[in-house]
Amino acid sequence: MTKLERHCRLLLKAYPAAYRRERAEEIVGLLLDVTPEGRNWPTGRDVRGLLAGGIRARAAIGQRPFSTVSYRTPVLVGIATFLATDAVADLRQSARFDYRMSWYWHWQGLITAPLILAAVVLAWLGCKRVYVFAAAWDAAVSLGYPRSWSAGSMTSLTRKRPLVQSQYRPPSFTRSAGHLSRQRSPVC
Amino acid sequence: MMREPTYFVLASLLQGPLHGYAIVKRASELSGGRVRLSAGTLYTALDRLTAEGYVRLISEQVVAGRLRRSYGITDEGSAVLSAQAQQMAEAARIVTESDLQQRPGPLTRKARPA
Repeated sequence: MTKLERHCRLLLKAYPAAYRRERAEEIVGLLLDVTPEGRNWPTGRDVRGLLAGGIRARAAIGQRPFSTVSYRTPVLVGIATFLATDAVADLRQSARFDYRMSWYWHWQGLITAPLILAAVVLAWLGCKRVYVFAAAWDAAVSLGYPRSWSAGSMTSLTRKRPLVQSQYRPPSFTRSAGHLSRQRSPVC
Repeated sequence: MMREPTYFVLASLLQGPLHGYAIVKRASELSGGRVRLSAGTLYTALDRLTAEGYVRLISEQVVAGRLRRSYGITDEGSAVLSAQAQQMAEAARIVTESDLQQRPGPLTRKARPA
């Protein structure tokens, strides 16, 4: 199997498994014909087309007349969207490091947000158990810290940050820059 | 109203059944290189057209280790395609056959007083 073919098969994972069983051979054949000689990956247009096609095919799973519509897909998409926006909000807040923020918020966001994002992507690719895991993780992280009880994870953007200086411990990379960390913070 | 890629997929099958790669080439030829179908677009269109009964699977063969399926247009498909072509021709006629002499000149900005 050439590199190109392997990459094509990897991209085809955007499609649901049942669809792949039916169509994968045919699509890979077409991609091998279409892609210019000497490339290891299909062209950008084809990559975009496959990803979009995969999402469409997944959205079309179990499409039935309206009276028997399945709520599975919309519910899963809703959960995924919630987790993803929450993770992005966390990440944005944590990345903008601020001396008023405790070390806890800093690392909690930087570590868990990418994990949740990865989980959402995996779940989209068909790994169902990860949904439960990601939701549990998000809930545990939000509830595990008493200060966030009032806010909950849904309001990451408006979360109240602890202002107590004794709690503040800069992360290791700022501590190594001695001249910076000795400076008095303008806020506290 | 049919989307352009769908229109050209159907149009490329008018001369007879074709397989995926041939459809991509033919659609590009017919449109003067404007319509470049990606694999994803082509198969999304073929899935839908097959489900609607406008296209059907004609044959399946393995050529040089690759699976090739040929698709052909159905009678229903040709009817829908010509209805669409008719509609587009009528829309085009409004512009192409208007009396060029009687048309007011192109809109130009009024000269500003100095």
